[in-house]
Amino acid sequence: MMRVHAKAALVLLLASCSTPDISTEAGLFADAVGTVSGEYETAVGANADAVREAEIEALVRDRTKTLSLDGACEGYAADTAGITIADCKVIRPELVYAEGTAARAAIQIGRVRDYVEALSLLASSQTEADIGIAAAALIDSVDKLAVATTSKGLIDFAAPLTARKDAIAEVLTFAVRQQRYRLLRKVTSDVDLPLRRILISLTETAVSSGQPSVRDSYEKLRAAQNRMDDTLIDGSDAEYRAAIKAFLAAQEAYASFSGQGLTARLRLIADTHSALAQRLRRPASLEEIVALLEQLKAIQGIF
Amino acid sequence: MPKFTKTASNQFNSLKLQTLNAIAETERRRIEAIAQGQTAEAKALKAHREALRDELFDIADDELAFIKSTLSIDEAEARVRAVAEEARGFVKNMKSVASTLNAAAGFLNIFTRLVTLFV
Repeated sequence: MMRVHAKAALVLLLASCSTPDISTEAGLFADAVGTVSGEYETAVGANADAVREAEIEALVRDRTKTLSLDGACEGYAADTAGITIADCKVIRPELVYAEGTAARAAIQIGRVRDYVEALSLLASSQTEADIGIAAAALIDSVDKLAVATTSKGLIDFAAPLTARKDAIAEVLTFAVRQQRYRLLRKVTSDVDLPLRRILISLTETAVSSGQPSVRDSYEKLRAAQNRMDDTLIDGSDAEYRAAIKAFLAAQEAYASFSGQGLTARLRLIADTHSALAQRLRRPASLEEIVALLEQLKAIQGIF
Repeated sequence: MPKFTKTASNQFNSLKLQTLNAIAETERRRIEAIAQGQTAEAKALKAHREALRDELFDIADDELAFIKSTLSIDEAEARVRAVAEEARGFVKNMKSVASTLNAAAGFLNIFTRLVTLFV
């Protein structure tokens, strides 16, 4: 009974410390971020600074109009009936908010790129494979030396090592893999919010430099849908037909933006990273547990 | 300063999901109303759907503001840089271990050849 419990505990322990291999996803993610960052630098680059300079110049030029009241307040000023101060709205030109210049954005996109490249490097299983191969090579060398020297002490030392060479290499590989996965989990979890924070800043800089935002794109689709809904009830056939066509075009534009728009892709980077972090956090699947048990079988020989 | 905990993140996600579900339900009722010729009801439901969509944007705005208030851009950059260094450091260390094992194996191989030649 105790043995059953011990085995169950072992399976649970392995399940809790196992994680899926995300090396392919991490590599593809790094490639995608590399492409987006290149496009970002081209599209936003100097334009962000130029737009900011133009905004500053506009504020300086219009400084006397910096604070003004909208049309409804003309009546208030003339003291005409029915207009109160509550109807007045202060018009204040504002800078489009962005946390940094183009130079700052370039540093930020560089940070993102550097991180995902490091993540891809960490996700690669080559690290533990190299150690396993090197350990096996060392054992082979010890064995050859023992044979060459015909030293009984060295032969006694090398024989059990050589007999269990594969198992020892497996143990080392397993240990490094577990350590690597633990770090992967920690890294992706620790960095998920900071990465999103940087991507928010980059998006703001992109929008302030004239790139369309996800929301703008969605609002166009929403307006087209509203027109279609309205004409369904109140419009003529011709109006409804035109509204349907306009909606379909807006839908196509939105789909295209969602896949190709720079700000949409920045958001996709954040979402993809969250998905990767989530994948590393979730419990292992049955297949992963079976794979680990197979690995355990392979390393049992040395205990 | 508030912490952007997993709970806070889940709360925002839960709110967004609730609102999305409410939008879907409102749309379902609107289509039903149109099918039954209740145009006034359909128009009211469309207005409600639009209000819910605005609410969804408000939640997204609150989430953005919350993230920004939780973590400054400088802190975010510093953390991402530190984590990238930690990841690279681990890989470098492991490569160094593999390289040491390979070097030891190489040294033993040379030593074995010498032994074979002179013993």
